[in-house]
Amino acid sequence: MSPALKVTARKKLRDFTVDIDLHIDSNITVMLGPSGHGKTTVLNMIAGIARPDSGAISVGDSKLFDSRHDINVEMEKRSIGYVFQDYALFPHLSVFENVAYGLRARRVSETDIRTRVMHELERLAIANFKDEIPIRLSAGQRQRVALARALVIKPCVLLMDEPLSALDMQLRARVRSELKALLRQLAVPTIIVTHDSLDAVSLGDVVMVMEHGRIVQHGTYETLLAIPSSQFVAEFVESNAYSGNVKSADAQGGAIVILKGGVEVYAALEEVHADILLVVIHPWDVALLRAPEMGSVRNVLRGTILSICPLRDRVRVMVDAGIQITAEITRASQDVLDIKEGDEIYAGFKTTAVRVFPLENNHRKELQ
Amino acid sequence: MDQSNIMSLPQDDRGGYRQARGTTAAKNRMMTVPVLFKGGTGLIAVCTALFLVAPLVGLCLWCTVQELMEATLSPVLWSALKISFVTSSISTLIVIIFGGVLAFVLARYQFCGKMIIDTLVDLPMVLPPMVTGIALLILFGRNGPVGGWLAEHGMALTFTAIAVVIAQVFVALPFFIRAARAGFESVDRRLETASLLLGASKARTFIKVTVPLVWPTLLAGAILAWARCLGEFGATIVFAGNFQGVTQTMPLAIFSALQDNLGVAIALSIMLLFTSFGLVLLLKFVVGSADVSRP
Repeated sequence: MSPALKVTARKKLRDFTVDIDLHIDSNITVMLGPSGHGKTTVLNMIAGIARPDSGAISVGDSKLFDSRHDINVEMEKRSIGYVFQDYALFPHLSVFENVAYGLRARRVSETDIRTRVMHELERLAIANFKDEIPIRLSAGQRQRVALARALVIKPCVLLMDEPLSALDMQLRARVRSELKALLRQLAVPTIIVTHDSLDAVSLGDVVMVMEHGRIVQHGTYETLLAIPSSQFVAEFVESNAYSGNVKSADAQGGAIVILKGGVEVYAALEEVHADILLVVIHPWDVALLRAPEMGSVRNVLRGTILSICPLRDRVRVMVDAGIQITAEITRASQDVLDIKEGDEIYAGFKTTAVRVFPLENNHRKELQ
Repeated sequence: MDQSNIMSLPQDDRGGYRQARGTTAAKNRMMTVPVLFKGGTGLIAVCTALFLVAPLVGLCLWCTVQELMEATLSPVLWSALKISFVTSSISTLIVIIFGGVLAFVLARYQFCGKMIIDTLVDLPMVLPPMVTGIALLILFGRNGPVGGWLAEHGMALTFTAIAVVIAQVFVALPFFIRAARAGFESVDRRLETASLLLGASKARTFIKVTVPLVWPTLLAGAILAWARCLGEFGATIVFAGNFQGVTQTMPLAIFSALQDNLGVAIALSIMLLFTSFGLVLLLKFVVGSADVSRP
């Protein structure tokens, strides 16, 4: 069991203040959020590249930073594995020497260096390239070298800044699943920063959504999807999220909700909320229909197709129906429907697919 | 959300820039040949090259083999060659060490008055060497503030080999500083950060990461500095004088020979020309092979 990482830190940036309070055990935490919301700053504070204005950072019993006791361990003494966004491999050194770098700095004996580096290279299946220089490697191979270089020093924490963003689409899915398998074996507390919710779904045990330097929600990806704490979170986990309010409700819990934009949908409410609601409709709950009478669902919205985007074995179709609604359908149904951008289409979903939450409900952040 | 849109966003500033620069460079390489030889461009290029080469060829043709042999036997030549190489080598070494530090400071630190220092560093490049010589003479001469103090302690600088070195260092420094500074500025700072995060000390990071990455630029700067030292004349003759066997470097020997025997002067010039050419060529090869960051 690796020691837990504790971070309480504040740092003022130009537009907002990063203010976080994290406790990370030996699992994989994905920090999800759009670019420029302070995710990398959090990594940099943990690594010692950026200095927090105030706070404390510790791994297990060892303190890395404490503004009250004026402790600030230099980054070369922190023993943190850091994988940069574009990997930052040393261009003048071979793959072997890149990986051996941290060990040489620690004055490990030559035989130990050989064993440990080769072990790491073999584990990541890059031993064949040990004498190549990084520029001759593919992006996927470079990422593994960067990972090997970070892991060979046996870091107490592994930080990865957008590890998949330098890869092209086809490679991403494969590298993502390889990375996941690898990180599972490691049992090193790992923080992965990404703006891609797919990374979050597949890599993270825990997902933290970051907005303007704060963690707005923290939990498993399923929790985030099921009970998003805000429209921001819902949108970022790539669900359809709207704000709206109840127009009318009957005794059985059936209700008509007006969404922002004037579209009315039928929803099943457990309790009647009078205030503004967050309405979430998951893309996989939305069916696409060629004609309105074809489905048995209560909600049918007419609209036009804005975009069609393949996603693994499925297809995401964005429809403008007064509100923008995304449907996630199988490739098979895409073929049956024979749709293209600009087509008229009907988006149908059940009343139970309309998930309604009171907006700005803070207690949900605690859910995990 | 459209996945392909996310992918096409620039992933980070540096990476994006580097990629863009790489592709333009590749494009330039491909386009050089057809564009150069279209229209009058090729003619202008050929004329310019001829203009640079013709005087040197003329110099070589003017001199008979006999004169060249005669000059080779002259003791003046050998002592001048020796002094030139010894002083210019020492000067280049001094320039690399001190100029390197200043270049690093200028590249990496922000401080008050940086602009002024920046400009002052470039000044010796535009100063007529004669003026440099006079300025050095005033400072280090017997009656100067530094020279006077040294003379009191039994050390005279003027008209010694040390004066030759001082003059050369002064004129060559800006050439090296400019190159080295550009080199230090171009290093991806994240590579240094990566090194520190892997546990390497700051000194180790400098030696193992920074220097290897700027090595080609440093070497190019050193070549320029060395060439400048070898050719230095004006400041040397004013500040160090023209004493055969002590301060008479090749350019000074050529100047002396020119006054009584044109043939010897030409022969010496050819000697200097070929040694300089060989030197620069050799170092260019070294730089070419040292540039590891290219595929």
